[in-house]
Order: sequence, then structure tokens, then C-alpha cells
Amino acid sequence: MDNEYLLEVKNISKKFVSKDHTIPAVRNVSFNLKKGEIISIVGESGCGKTTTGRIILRLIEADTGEIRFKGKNIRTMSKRTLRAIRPSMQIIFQDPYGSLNPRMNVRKLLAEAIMTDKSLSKQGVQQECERLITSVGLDIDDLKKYPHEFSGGQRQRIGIARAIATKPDLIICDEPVSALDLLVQAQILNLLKKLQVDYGYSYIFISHNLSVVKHVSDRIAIMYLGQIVEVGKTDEIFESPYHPYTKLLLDSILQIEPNSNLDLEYECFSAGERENDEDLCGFYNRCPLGDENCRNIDNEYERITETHYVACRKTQHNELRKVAVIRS
Amino acid sequence: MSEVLTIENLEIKAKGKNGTVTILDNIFLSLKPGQTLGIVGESGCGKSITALSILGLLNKHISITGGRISFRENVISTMKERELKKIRGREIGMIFQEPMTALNPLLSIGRQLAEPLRAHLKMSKREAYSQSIELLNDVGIKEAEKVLKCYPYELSGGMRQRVLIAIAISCKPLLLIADEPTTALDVTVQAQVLSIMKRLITEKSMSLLLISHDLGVISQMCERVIVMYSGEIVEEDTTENIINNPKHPYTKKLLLSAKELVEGRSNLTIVNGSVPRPEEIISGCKFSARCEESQSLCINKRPPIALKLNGSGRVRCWQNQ
Repeated sequence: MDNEYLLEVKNISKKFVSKDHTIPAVRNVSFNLKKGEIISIVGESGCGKTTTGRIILRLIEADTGEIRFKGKNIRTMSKRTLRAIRPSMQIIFQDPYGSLNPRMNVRKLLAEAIMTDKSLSKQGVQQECERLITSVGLDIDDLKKYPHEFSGGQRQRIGIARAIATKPDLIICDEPVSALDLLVQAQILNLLKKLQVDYGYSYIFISHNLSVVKHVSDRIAIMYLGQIVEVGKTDEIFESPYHPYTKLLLDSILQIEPNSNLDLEYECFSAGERENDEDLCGFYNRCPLGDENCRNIDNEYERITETHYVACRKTQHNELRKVAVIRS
Repeated sequence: MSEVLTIENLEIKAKGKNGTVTILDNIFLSLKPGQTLGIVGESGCGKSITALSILGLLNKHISITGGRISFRENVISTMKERELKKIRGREIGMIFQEPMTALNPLLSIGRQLAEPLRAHLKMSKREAYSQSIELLNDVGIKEAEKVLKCYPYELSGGMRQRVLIAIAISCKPLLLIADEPTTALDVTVQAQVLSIMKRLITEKSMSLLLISHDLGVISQMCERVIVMYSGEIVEEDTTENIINNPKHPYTKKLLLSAKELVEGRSNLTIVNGSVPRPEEIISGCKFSARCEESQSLCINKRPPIALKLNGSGRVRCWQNQ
């Protein structure tokens, strides 16, 4: 058993089955997370990033694969044992409006989470509430208030206070700032970063926006149609991306300088239907480089560096920085 | 050439449980034919209300209490609903944020696209059909015949937003109002939809009023920018000047945050506090509580919006007039 990692995810897959469709939401996803590390999972809607996060917490059961948290396989764990581990794995949700019970004041919301530690006295819980609320930048007076009295950013702070109340090791942040205004985004991102430095949490940061995760993450995993297509250190992803999809994501970041990157000729390819041919690379339809060799790439990663891996057969074409060519 | 749209000293109030509050105050703007103007600001700053007031689509409890809105030299802020209907969708096209709810789920795309063509331009069914195909091609949809038969649920978010753009431009409006047109879309699709919009605006020489919280979107699309804060215009200038030489402290902070995010700084600059609620009574500058440059004058007296010291734009700040 390798104890170096806080979390090891091996080959998890999940298919959602409905009457006439089977959607492979997550396909063979593997990654590791060290203690104190921040990894981001980035991709567009429907790529399976949220499902991956929920599978790790066992809010959704995976079909296959293994999830080891502190060396223990939590996928085979009984509900009861899992309950004992839950406090050390927390989640912060996207919607600060829907994720707090509107009938509980902040004190109750926090106390509920704090009391998973049964040893605390009533006074201890009280003190802990006060410590938590100030550590996320709110006032002790705010404990009396109800969620509707707060703005979106403040609610997200309460969500964070609740997540750290159980002294977790791992926090999954599922789009924690995408519902917030720009200036508030910066406040929340800085708060998350500060808490990570102070308490050594590990984060899995789930986002559709590469620029949001750039300054919080140590490593970034790019997901497309249920697969991790590229993973590397933040610099490696931004400075030398290999997968055409990663490049497309980077090119889509709108620059602030007027007329700098949205040139009229620039037509990026659209998300096509997945080819019926199951072996074909998921990105084939949108890829300017794809050909008949782009098959069976599931789980076959080319190693670029020690930390940088990419699931693409065309890495030799990397000089093609801009991939904005429409596939006819 | 005369203005397509002018707003003069617009004031809008909302009735609430605890009396009336002013949600828009002292709004001036004008748009010439073919010009593109962006309005940027945080949620609740009044940018969407501005758009809705132009179209006469304000909620019952929100009303225009001062100033006026003119479209091609006709005052539309006092116009009767019947008159307004002839302009809305015909001469002013609109695109809203939610591609999921802006289309009627019970009608096929073909029906919804033909509706304005038949109502405003009195086209026959056949004319409307061929025009619809042309419109869908315009917004980059290749299999137009197939898409016309589809219902909204069968299309992705990006496709729906393109259909909405097609509907908005169907009657060749002079003015296109787009309220957060790409906010609900993925980044890759956003880039695509924006470039389609940009091409169409140039081709069809429309004026554009674009509302967004995203400075990146605004700066890629617009020649001029209005920055709003808490129901007021705080700065207006060319996009270049706003981006490279912002004057209002709020604009400066907004830009800094946006730039830092794109560049990926390890520690983001923070502006403490939050936007004042509309019911709060502030005698001075509304940003003064969060402003590093504020002085006693700023806290006590509301600055007017006035020409910049040496430049083309306007700014509402005592320190820069």
C-alpha cells in the first residue's frame, strides 16, 4: 500500500442508463492526490467532472474501479464504516442559494456539522462556531442570521465554514465561484487558498473555467466526454499543452485586451455527436488532426514529463499551437 | 447621423414591501447606427433593468419615474403597448441569457423562427420557410432543414443560443440588445457564438447594446463601454481607454480582478465589502465605502457624472474631474 497519497482513484467508470440511452459519464478515470495538494478537474458541461467528484464521495456509486482514501478502499466499504470517514471528506457546492437549509440559522447550520465530533461540550460547540465564522471572514453576530439575509458571496463563505467544520483532509469544491461576481470570486478564491495554507487541506477543484483554476491549482486534469485527456502541472498545461482539446480551451479564454483573440476567422469546432464507433477517440469529431489511428486510446497515455500525461496519438504535431481548423 | 437610441436622465423605481427604492438613477446613453456599446457591472447593478426598460418589458412593480428613452427620435418610454409591439422584435431585436427558457418548448424551431417573419414582415409560409433556412445558415447551422423540425429540447445550449440569435436578427433590426448572451454557455461555445454575433453585426450593420458581467466578452465585442455600479453609470469611454486607462476606482478594481484571473496570479487583489443594497441611503459616492482613494468629500457629496479631465469619456468620481 502506498501511503504517500491521500487519495488514489483507479479506473473508475460510471454509465448512466436510461430507457433508450446509455451514457458513459465517466470512463476509466485515474488520478492521485497528495496531502495538501490541489488538483483541478476542468472540462465543459457534461464531461463528467461533477460525477467524478460525487463518485469519490460515494454520493454516486461507480460501476467499476477503486477509490482509496488514506489507503482504505472506500468503494467496498459498508455504509456504516463510510459514515465514520465522511467527516474527513467534504464538499462545497456551486449554488450558495440551494445548498443551505433556509430554515436554519447560521449557528445551527454550523453546529450540525461540528457535532459530528461527539466529544465536544455545548460550550465547545459554541466556541467552535465562533472560530469558524471568523475564520471565513464573517462576524460572530452573523451566527444569528438566516441564509436569506446574506449575499451570494457570504453564503458561499458559510458553505465553506460548514465544510471545514469537521476538520476534513479532503474538500471537493464543485464550481465554488461560478455563480459569483468577479470581485467576489477573488475574495472566495483567496479565502480557499488561505485556508489550504493554514490547515493543509487537499482540494479537488471542479470547474469549467481554466482561468479560475489557474492560480489555485498545483495540477490540472482536463476531462472530455468522461475521460481525462491530459493531466499535468498547472504550468505544463498552460505553457505546453499537448491535447488539441486543451489548446481549444486555452484559446477560448477571452482576453481583456480589446480585439486580441476573437478574430472573425476563428471558428472553433462544435461539440458533435459522439461517433457510434466506440473505439474512436472521443474528441475525433472536433479534432483537426484525428484519423483512423485514433482508436482505443482509453487509458493509454503518452508520457511527456514525470507529471505530464496526454491521451492523444498526435502529440508529434504539437507545434500546431492553434487548432482552429474546421473539420469538413 | 442621428442616434438610434438615446436614454436621457432615466430614473427607475421599484415598489417593495418597505416603500419605493430607486434602482436606476441618472442614466444617460446614446448609440449611433452601427455602433457597439457594452454595459458591464456586477449582478444587481441595474444593467438588465436598463435593457428591459428600453424594450418596455419591466415588471409591474418597477416603473420609469423620470427621464426618457428614444428610439430613432421617437420617445418609446411612454409609448402604448400596441405601438411598442411593432418595434419590439421588428426594429429592436433581443437575445436573452437563458437559451433553455427563452424558447417555447412546445413549438418546433421552424414555427418559432417563422413567427416574427410572418407577423412583422407578413411573409407567406413558404417565404418564411426559405428565409428561416437562410437565417440558420447565417448563424452557422449547416443542417438547417433538420434543425427546423427539431424541438428545443433536442438541441444543445450553443445551438439554442444560435437559434435565438437567428430569431433576433430575422427582421433585420436596427438595434440588437443582448443580455448576457453567452453566460450560460461553455467557454469553447462562447467563443464561437460571439464570433458569429460579431460577424452578423458588421454584415447587417446593426447597432449592438451588449450587457455582460464579463469584461472579456465586452472588450472583444464593443467599441464603447459603460461601467455601472449600484444603479448608476460610473464611467463611460472607448473600450481601449477603459481597459488601458481606467479612471474610476471601481473600474480599476474590476479590471485588475479580471486581468489577474486571466493571468493566474497566485494572490488576487481583494476589494472588501459588497455592493450597497438599493434601500441604503448614501449621501456620498456609492463606492466610497469600498474605495481606497476616498476622501471626506466622497463620503459626503454624490459626485455627478462629468467629462474626464483630458479625454473622451465621462466619469462619476470627485478625484478625476
